[in-house]
Amino acid sequence: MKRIFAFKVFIVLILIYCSSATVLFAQKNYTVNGIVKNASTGETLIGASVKISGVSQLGTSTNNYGFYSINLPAGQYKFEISYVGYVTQIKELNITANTKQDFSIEESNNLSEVVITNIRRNENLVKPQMGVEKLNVKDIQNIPVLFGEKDILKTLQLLPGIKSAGEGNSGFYVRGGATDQNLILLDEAPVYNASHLLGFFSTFNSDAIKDVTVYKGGMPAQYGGRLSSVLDVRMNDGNRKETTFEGGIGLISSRLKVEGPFVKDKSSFMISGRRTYADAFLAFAPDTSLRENTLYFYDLNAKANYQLDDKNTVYLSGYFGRDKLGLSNTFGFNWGNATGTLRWNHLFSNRLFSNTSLIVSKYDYTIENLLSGSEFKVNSSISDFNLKQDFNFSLNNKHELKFGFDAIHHTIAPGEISSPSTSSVNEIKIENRKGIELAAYISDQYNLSDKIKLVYGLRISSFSLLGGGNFKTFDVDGIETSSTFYKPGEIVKSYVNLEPRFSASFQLDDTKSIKTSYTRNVQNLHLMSNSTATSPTDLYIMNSLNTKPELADQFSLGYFNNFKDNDYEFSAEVYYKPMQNQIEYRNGTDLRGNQNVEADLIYGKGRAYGLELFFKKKYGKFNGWVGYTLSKTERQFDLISDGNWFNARQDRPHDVSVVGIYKPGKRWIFSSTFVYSSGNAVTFPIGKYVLDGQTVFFYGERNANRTPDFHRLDVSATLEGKPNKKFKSSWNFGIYNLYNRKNPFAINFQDNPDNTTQTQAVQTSLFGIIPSVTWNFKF
Amino acid sequence: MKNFKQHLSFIIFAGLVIIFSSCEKVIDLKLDNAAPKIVVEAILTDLDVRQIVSLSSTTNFEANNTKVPVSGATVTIKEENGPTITYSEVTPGNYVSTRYKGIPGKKYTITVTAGGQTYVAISTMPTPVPIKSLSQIELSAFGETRKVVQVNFNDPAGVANYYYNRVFINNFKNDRYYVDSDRFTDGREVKNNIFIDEPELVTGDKVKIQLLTIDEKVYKYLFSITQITGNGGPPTTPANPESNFNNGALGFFSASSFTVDSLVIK
Repeated sequence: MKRIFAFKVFIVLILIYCSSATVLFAQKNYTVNGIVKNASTGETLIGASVKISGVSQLGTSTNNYGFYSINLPAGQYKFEISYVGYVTQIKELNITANTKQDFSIEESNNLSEVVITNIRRNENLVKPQMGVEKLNVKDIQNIPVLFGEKDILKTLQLLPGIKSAGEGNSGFYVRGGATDQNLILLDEAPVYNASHLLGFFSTFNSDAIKDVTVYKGGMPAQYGGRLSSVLDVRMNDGNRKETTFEGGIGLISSRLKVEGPFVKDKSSFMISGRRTYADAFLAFAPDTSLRENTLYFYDLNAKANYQLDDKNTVYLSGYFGRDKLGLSNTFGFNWGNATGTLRWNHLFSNRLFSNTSLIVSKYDYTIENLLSGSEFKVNSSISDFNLKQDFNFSLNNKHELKFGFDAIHHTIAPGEISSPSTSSVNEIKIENRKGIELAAYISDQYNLSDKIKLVYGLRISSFSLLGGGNFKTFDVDGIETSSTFYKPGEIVKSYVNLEPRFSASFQLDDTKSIKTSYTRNVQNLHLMSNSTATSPTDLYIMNSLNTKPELADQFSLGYFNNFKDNDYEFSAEVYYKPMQNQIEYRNGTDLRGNQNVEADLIYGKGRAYGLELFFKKKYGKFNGWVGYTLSKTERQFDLISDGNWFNARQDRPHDVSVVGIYKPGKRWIFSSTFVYSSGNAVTFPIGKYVLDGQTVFFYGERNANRTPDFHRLDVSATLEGKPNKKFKSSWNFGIYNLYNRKNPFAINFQDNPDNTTQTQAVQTSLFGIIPSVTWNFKF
Repeated sequence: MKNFKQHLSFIIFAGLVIIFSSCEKVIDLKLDNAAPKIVVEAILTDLDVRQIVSLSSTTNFEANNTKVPVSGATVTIKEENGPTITYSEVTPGNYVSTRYKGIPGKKYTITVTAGGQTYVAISTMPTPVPIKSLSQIELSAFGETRKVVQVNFNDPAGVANYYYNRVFINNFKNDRYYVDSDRFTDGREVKNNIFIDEPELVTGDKVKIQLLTIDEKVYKYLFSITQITGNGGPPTTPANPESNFNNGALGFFSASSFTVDSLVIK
């Protein structure tokens, strides 16, 4: 109760501050506001730059809904609107009153046009935000990937500081964080399992995606809930001008997207689907039992929006995806996410923009054993209800405020085993866990001078574990020390944390800047995985009487330098990130159907530090980047390796990625990627013994060894159909792992099958050289 | 049930790996070598026989898979409120008692002294759970049909039971640890599936199964090893299992009730 009151006071204070500030500054400036859109589709553009020529201090960028607001004294101004992949527009406006001005800018389908515009963007220098990467969805289509399935998560892994969790795995590690320490948002809804087919593909069908932004550090105050990164994915709103169809046929899957206006320029929809058809091939299998197996996944993204008037727009979006695996008459396994977001954008004034979101998200899996005599079914899920309120307020030409609150109700159903009475398996229901996360934040982007810009803010977050069941405590040995019953709705335990966020940029001259940031992040939900690979059955747990919120502080410093009229961009960032309340499990823990998982958890610390170098050529026929990361990630647990610091699973000291895209003419696009990284930190045996006939290995210090280095070269070529036709099509050809490198996926130690008196190390490699072809169309 | 789930998840995992054109090769790794440690293998049954304790030491990874015997040790087992039985070394590393049988419910303490160090472990013999019968079923997955042996027994209700199936095929012991708990099957008629591969079962194979009841610590020791070896799907981060012996000895001491049955694969 006290806390809710404190939040109310906080919100009221912010509102008072804003309204009084409005009065104070209102006379001096006029406000220009509006939306920046794609001229041909009416799709709003996120993060488009709105600059006033010649006044470096004056400029802003559009928010997640394409909205901008800028304050100016009366006068004549040149507005410069730019966005990656679009032709920069310059418009002269005479500002004598508050003005509403929308901009529609053209896509530069052809690169020579970009070359002609000599306005090059240097926001990477000017913006105080650091540790942020924005992916151009158009680029994703040209970068070679496994089976030709374009994939934002795999393309992200080519950026410095973001590492793949394993070959062909859509899981990723950011700056020493684990895969569950990434906040993955699809239209603001958290996606709890962002992968298909045990991680080989991501749940994001890039046809439906408009914008992808990832924060590795310096997270803005409006984001919270995970330690390492925020991946903010926004779906397309739908074409407001005309109905279009788009699709593709590939080796693994086919896709179709339909979008168009309900009411031209006011309202539109988008529906995009994808389905794999590995099972279609199974149907042709000669063996009947093979034909009865199921193996596929699908994704469905849908969105609709309606602009009620100049001040109000509503959006409804949803995502549904599911994997299904089945073995004829013996076994069934399916899992998937469903998310839904209802949003209302409202302009309180030309400077106060509001977005209210109601969000639901659910991840669940079902395992079915159909074998007679031991039939059973396991259900498990995590579901969220979330209310989020965000305000953007452009106070004056020096201050831009963001503030709001977030309330999430989580329910975790860890597992319920049901079985018929004839089965040898008992019915077991593990108690559900419920919790509420409340957060409020405020941040100010302060343009202190021409050279110095700051973003500073504070997030207050709380987590309350709610009753409904027995809550136990355990000692360091995992022995139960107490068990208390709490009624539903009763607060079992609350945690409150302050999360300061700060970043600043100091522009040294037109081409160089230095940035620094400090952020604290808190994580209240934790993913327990007791295998070395991520699995759909990994278990989410919340803070409890035993498990405390994970905390991370991140300090980073960066140097940014653009060359040749902003054509080339170079950056070097260093970071140091200590982490508290990290979680591991004891040896021999069985997470399945476990009532007392917490008895098997142990808690410790982590630290990660590193250097990231990034060199990018942004424009021209040839563009691309080189990224290099030098880093160290360690953990310390009193009960592991005698309490010494050990390499975390995600520790990989060297990581290199090279991406090149070449567009020689109007129709062909060639691209290539090369990745190299140190081997994974693993534990090898340092001895062996024979116990009741089996060879058992004796292991050394945790993760003290390394698998062989990983490297791979992929290439792809895209042939665009003849331009200027209504029906456009393109062919994409790719080769994954061009030189057929046998990269280590796992190393196992076993008896030599040919000579059982000897043991051997066997390396498993997943993907050899794999060609792919995809045909895409649009009309 | 656990084995079943583990094995199916393994089959699926393996199936996916095969679909995605995996390949395996033997690689040469430079591995460190630990100082030798003592390994105790001690099962005390409820049969009236000469019981055996075997002592060996760890070797380097490159060495042969043969036991390096630890000789000249003293081995005794003390029954709770009962006699102390002394074992004598009959062949190098193998220590044998006079005929005696363990009693369910009794606590036993083993003491091994070797190389000037004493190692102690305690195990309580669980209630006997006899095999009712063995039966044979067939399972098919990804176009392959496997012959699977089911061990049928009645799990006692209301107590935690742990099982170790020692499997012999044509009188050769299978080296896998088929361990199980009744966490999901307490008080039920259990049909426990024993998956055998490398080589798979064929018609005419004689399968003998010894069902040993074990205590929780021994179960955890053996279960941890099965987790690391990836018998149940993707392997976990390897670490040394916790033995019920103190002072850094490896292996286990299990006081176990014992029944045996066999069948010929049709």
